[in-house]
Amino acid sequence: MRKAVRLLALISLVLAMILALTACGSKKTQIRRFETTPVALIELMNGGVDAVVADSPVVLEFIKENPNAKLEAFGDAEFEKEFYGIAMRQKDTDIHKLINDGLRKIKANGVYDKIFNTYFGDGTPYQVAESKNTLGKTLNVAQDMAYAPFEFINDAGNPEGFDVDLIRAIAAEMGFAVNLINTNWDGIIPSLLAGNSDLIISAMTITEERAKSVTFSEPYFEATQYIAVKQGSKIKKLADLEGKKIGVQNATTGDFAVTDYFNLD
Amino acid sequence: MDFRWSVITNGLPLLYKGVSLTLQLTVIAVGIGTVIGLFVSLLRVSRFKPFIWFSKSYIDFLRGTPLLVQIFLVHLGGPQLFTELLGRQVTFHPMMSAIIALSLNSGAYIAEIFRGGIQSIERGQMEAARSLGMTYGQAMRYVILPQAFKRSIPPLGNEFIAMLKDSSLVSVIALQELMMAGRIIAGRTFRPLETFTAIAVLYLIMTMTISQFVSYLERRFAKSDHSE
Repeated sequence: MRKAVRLLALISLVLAMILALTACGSKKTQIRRFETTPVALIELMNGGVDAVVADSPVVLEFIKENPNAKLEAFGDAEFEKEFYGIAMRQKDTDIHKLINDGLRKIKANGVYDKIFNTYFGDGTPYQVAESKNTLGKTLNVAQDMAYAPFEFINDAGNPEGFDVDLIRAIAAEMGFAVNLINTNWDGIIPSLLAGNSDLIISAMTITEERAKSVTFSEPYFEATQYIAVKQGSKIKKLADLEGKKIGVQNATTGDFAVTDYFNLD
Repeated sequence: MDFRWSVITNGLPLLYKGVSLTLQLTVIAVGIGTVIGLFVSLLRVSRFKPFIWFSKSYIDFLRGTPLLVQIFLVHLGGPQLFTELLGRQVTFHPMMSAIIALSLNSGAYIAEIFRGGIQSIERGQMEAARSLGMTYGQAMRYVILPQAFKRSIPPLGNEFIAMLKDSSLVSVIALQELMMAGRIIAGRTFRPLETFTAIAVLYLIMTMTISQFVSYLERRFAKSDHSE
């Protein structure tokens, strides 16, 4: 029995050493998938990954807000242009019409430009009108609130961001009310399909794969993937990430782009 | 009912790697935890006040905070702390962070398991050992601990099963164990029902196998109770 204890301790120590050695010595390109992009960026700051691949506006916002993190970011010709869309259930044709009409209207009357300006222009704050809910309809909106400047929780504890303002503006224009629900990115499409939410506006890129399960609105934003690295890093393009550790948020287009490019699991 | 088996069959490589890593992490965590737990429990039952104080604090902290918090503290907080202290970039490999957090956590629970085992041995054993001329240390080593260990086997088995399930939390630091495989597959296919049913079944197979093994161990060790 004491021999059993010693044996168990020995086995676990040996296994630990093997694991540690194989993990350290690995020269293969590794992808690390995190639940949120901020955690991936913290990991980059700590040196746990060599680069993070995420949506360009989010990366640039993080670098702007955290100058002492000493990060820099750049794009790559390999990354395609991406368009964000509002996701809805395929059978909710009345909601599709509501959202697309609303989007068109606020693009035509300048409200879209004012909101865009707040976050990506000169920063003049624009107060989105409160919806009068003339339709008497409240739609639940799922957002992963860890994605500045699109959706995040501000210091006062309230949702803020481009997507937040946009959906509130559409709601005000079309006469319905919205209830914003902070939803984990991993479960955001399942939550829509299960009925826990009626809309997703969460900087979600329109992809063929996603369009098989949901219906997207017309595009409302254009972005691409950026690679974030520490200042002074030798990584200058996507191909330089060969053999390195890459951080991404799970199930984002950044995740898919890196997985496909390097043929990972 | 549209239950897509293809989701599971396409995900088999990820699931296989996940099961493998989950088992490795659990064995290592409980292995190291047993060593820590034995040491801490001996401190806890000693008569030296500083030892008692130290072991109690260790056990209280590791059992009184959620494992998820401990994992983030080690993996995200550790580098931040040591980078400032040492003035140069310190990085924790997620495997190392996982092993540290899981082992420390396991050690605290196992320390209490061993303490329970030790204190359940009637005082007469220690008295008899001492009256035969053994020191406290010899009595512990040759009389008390062997018996205490046998009594600890069922709760130790439970701890192993608990750690197997708790290891799912290290998915938050991007280790590709079984839970992470689930997140990845569900994130790609949007079929959480098929994905997490498969994950649950795999965890169940592992825990039930361990349960059977623990029952076998109990029976084998119990034989010596009836030897004539």
